[in-house]
Amino acid sequence: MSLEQLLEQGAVWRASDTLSEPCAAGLSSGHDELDLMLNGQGWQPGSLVEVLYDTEGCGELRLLLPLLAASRERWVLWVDPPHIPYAPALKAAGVALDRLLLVRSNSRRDRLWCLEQALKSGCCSAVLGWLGDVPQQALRRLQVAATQGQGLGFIFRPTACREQPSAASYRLLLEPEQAADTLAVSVLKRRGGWPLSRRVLSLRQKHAGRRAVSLSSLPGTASVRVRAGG
Amino acid sequence: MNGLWLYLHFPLLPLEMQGPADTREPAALLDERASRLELCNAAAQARGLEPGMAVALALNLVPELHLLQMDTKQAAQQLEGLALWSGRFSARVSLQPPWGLLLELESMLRYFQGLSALWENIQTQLQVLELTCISATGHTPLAARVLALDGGFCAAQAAEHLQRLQSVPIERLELDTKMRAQFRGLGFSRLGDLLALPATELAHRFGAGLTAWLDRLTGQRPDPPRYFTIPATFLRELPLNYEVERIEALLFGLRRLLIQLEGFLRAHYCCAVRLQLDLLQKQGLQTLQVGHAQGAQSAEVWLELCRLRLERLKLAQPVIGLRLGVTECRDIESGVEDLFSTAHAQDAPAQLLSRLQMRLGEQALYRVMPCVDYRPERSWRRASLNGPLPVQPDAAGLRPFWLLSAPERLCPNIVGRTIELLQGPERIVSGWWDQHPVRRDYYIGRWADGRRGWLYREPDGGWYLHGWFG
Repeated sequence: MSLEQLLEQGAVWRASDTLSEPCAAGLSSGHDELDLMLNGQGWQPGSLVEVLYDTEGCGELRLLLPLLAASRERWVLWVDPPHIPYAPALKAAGVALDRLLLVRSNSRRDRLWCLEQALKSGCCSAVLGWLGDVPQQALRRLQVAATQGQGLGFIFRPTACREQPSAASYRLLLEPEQAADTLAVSVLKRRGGWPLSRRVLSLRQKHAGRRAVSLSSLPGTASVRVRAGG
Repeated sequence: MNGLWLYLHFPLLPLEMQGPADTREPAALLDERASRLELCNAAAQARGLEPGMAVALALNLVPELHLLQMDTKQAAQQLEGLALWSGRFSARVSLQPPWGLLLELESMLRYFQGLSALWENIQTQLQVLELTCISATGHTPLAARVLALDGGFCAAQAAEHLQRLQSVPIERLELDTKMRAQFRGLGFSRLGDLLALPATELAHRFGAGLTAWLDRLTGQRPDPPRYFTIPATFLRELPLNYEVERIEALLFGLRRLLIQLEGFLRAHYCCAVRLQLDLLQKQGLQTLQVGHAQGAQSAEVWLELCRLRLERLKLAQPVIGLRLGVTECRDIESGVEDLFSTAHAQDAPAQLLSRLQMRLGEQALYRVMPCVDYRPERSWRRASLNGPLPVQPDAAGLRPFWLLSAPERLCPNIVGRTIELLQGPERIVSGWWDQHPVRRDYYIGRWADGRRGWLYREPDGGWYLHGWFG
């Protein structure tokens, strides 16, 4: 049997085919470079995105900010965020606070249940959940729920979980950068494509007419140093 | 009084309403003197029991037989509950004690697009009810009843009904036992034999009562039923004849109540926002409040919410009865649901929120909104889920997305070494009037790895981390 025959039968899987596979139209992430990294389509509804970072402050929210600011009709659920989402800053960044719903659960079980329900219901534009170490099956359940309800889920976990297998359709690793409004993103896994190595993204928004989105848009940019105790 | 009527006959209603969830267990209902069996369920009949059998004999045959007491008041309540349920098919429902309901269908045919569609709909809904039911249509109320007692029938035309009535055995008619014996003696076995006789002759021999009955049956004499009026409030009780310790068993009975509730709500064209469920126990009761953010009618939606609520509950004692009432309801507003932006939605958002609230408690879900205050920890507050948020002016200055719930003390040595200050100070002095004064200089700092935080210095020189630029 020749190779052509095998290819015709579909017995051999060609990586090059998957890249051209038409993807469902996604939601633009608001960052062109990131859209390109996500198969040129942005966030895909019906998928779970696992975001790995170590501590807050690296730009993890600014990465999602265009998406959050665009959801004005449907709910955005934040399940057990590690700190208080600070309303004045979110409002200044254009996030619709009346659609932002915070959920505080008591246990890991409730947290997972809550995420699953929200993803399955299909009535949220995004579901954000902060999870620590969870069993593999839990992530698989969430991924299935997201596919079922065509929800978009973001699961934030520490980078220590990097080596664990994960059922999420996308896995992004975030690392802070020295320059203002930048963030290093590595795509560890993505749907229909190979992993991508670390790239530095600019978090500055093209149409960011509002304040507080960009850390370098105000006086006191990285070039201005202030002495401690001054 | 021609038209189209539907008679629903629930032959095992008192038994099934009280009986165990598991219909495979034999159960029987005693008559008023508690000496003979009045009704047997299918499992009991399969074991050789039949109505009219003496209790002693029945217990000899099936020692594990569940015996239930007849309660006429309870039976009437159950029938009313079913009348509420049947409100979804017709606004004109008549109670036919002990175990029947009469529905006027003629005026509903157009709404339900014909008899066959309506009939199918009714049969599906009856299956959900999980009650044994024989249904029959009739061109008069009495014809529907006679045909239901004879095993059921469905047709649209009066002629078809008259045709079918001919073949009903006289034994099945609700006539005087003596009269039936007389007919038997005369060699009549079917209703058709009676209808063929001249009315005057029948009246002469058997009295005017029989001819009047036959006239009502065939439609020559009007026979308007007394319609059931829907009560203004909903408060129903369902006694369980077993002590229930598990939640699943409670749900079975609860579902019946919720189906009645759905009928009640539909009839009043409103939806329930809050229900009160009392779990009746031997001593005292446990009360639960179950709410839905926007209000719902559907029994399935309420059942799920109740289940979530019950899962959190610890039963203090076994439950012997359920009581359900509506404590808050609201009229249905049309056009609440969003048609366009939720293309994939399977649930209404309100349903998701209610479900989360039921499991996690009402306090677990909230929104955040800015407040007018210079102190960062007081410039936001929690807001409830409903309604628009009040408009607040934008706060001054650059603020982080994350605020630490309690400021974290930093070692003064690292500020300026590992933490590079990029911007500041921004002095915030406020709150001397309400016992929470602050006097802080805020800075934006860059940590060695590039993260950016929001930190402040107290007048005494101590450094604190208060937020992260996430």
